[in-house]
Amino acid sequence: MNMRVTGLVVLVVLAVLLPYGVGEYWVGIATEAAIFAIVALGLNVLMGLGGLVSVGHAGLFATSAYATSLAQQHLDLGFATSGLFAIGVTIAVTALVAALAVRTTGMYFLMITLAVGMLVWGLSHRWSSLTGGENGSVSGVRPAGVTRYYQYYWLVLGVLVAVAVVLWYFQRSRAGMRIRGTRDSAARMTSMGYSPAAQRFVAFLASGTVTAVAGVLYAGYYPVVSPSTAHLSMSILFMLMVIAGGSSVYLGPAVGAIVLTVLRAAVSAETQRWATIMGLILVAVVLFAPDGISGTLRGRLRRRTAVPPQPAREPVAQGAR
Amino acid sequence: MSGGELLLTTFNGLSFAGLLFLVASGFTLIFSLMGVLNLAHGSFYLWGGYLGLVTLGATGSWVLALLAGALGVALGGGVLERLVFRRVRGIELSEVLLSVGISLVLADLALAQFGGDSLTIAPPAALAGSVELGGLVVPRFRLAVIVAAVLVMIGLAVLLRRTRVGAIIRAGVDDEEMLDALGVNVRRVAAAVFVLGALLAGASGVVGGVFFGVYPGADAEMLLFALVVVVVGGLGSLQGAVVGSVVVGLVYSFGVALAPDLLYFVLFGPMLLVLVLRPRGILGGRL
Repeated sequence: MNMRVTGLVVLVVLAVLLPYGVGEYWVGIATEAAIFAIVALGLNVLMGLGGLVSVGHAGLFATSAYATSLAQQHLDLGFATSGLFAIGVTIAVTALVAALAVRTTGMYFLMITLAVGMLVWGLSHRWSSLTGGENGSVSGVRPAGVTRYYQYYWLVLGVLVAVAVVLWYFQRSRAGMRIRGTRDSAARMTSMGYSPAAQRFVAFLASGTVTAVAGVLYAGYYPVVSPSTAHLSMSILFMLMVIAGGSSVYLGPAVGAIVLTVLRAAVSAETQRWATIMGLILVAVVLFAPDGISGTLRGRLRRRTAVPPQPAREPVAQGAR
Repeated sequence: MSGGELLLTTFNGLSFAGLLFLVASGFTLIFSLMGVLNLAHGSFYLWGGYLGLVTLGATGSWVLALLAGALGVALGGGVLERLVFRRVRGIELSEVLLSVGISLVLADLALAQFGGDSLTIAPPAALAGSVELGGLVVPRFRLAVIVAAVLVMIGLAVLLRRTRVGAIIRAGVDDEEMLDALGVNVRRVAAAVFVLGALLAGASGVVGGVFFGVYPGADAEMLLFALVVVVVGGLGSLQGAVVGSVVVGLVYSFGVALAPDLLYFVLFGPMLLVLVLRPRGILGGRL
């Protein structure tokens, strides 16, 4: 355990030192990777801990980013106040979506999140008097003293570490345990007097809150929030980060976010076919590495050190057809 | 809105409902037997449209275009079922994720091949123009779509309820192991249903190309419509697909006519209402 913490501290220190080693472009990519890592960790509260797959998280992410941008423009708020406003708005939206979605599980849950994500995209696209339509909404406001690219990177990195620590304790808290218990057996939780829907609601709300934080950071990172932020492919990217990283390992989704963000930057420089590659990665992960990068690596390590492998985890979403 | 406009809007809604049913019935069929939520269904629709468009351009024959769209996508769907979906059969989440991955690839390849413009498919000469129907002048093609949807609906109902194949399909939904033990090749039945669903998606792509054109993003839009239809009607139920299509088709048609700016809200209204009142849809259940 201590060794693990030490290893993580070393990794964080290396990440802090990154701007001294690489140029502005790659620090920008790293900033984006860290923002997506926050989303992926938040999404994994729902997917890994709750066993509920959301294909609509880009909707929440974009809600937060748009709310930040709009609050800055129309309410004349600064970074922190607009951020808090956006997080509040996103939590309210999440609560609304969750109230509907947690009545179901499995494929129905997935479909509802998908539809809501597409609804947000449609609104961002069509409601142009508010959102600016295709042109997007101006953003990019950063707090005083954190305006340079590397300073903003450090801010995002700090938030990522804070989120990772908070979620670590959240998943071990009573609330986290109840969510896990609901994932493994809703019937057992019901017989113990807990409402499965209530646990799922808490999981969704926690997940949405973390996603909202990432959305605020994203609005500060990019000069414009555009409808592509809410697009289905973005939701799929988030989901893929969790799955490719490995939802059963705590920091797996963050690993997935970093790997995929860097890969996307590298691929996009070479070809326009990123969507094809992303689709093929998704297919390959599902067929050949269902535990994701970190889950598969951990399996390998365990086998090498001759510890009997863990029994296969339950599939993420238990099917209620 | 005058009486004539009211009737015309209703007619347009019903013809759109016909198209929706063609798309959603395949979607719900695949789900009910195989338990696969095939999110690549929209991409099947899109590729059906493009295949039809190319064939129409090359041969000038609408019948061949419809066949190419339907059979081409059915073939592609069969290959995908064999090579990809079969490997994770029964693992719901893996199946839906695979379909997401495949839809990304298919949509992107279509974009690479056909570009970003909206291409329109001309209706067949025999169905061009309008026809008077009880004092109402309506496009022939839209009338034909309603007729086609009703025929497909009857065909599917007969297939499922009256034939041996239908009995096997329904038995497979209820108890797959038992059916297997009775000597029925369940895998083959499942593959056949998947191909049938793909065929319907491909054919509706050609039809939809006349309605809205074929363009990148049509796949996601149609998938969204199909989702709303099955959520409203109830996933895995043929009657549900009928009810859902009619509700969504009419809501969409009146939404466009009355409040185009609020279209998205209007479209999602019935879905949210159904989710609150009946989370499994109006006629939720299995075939």
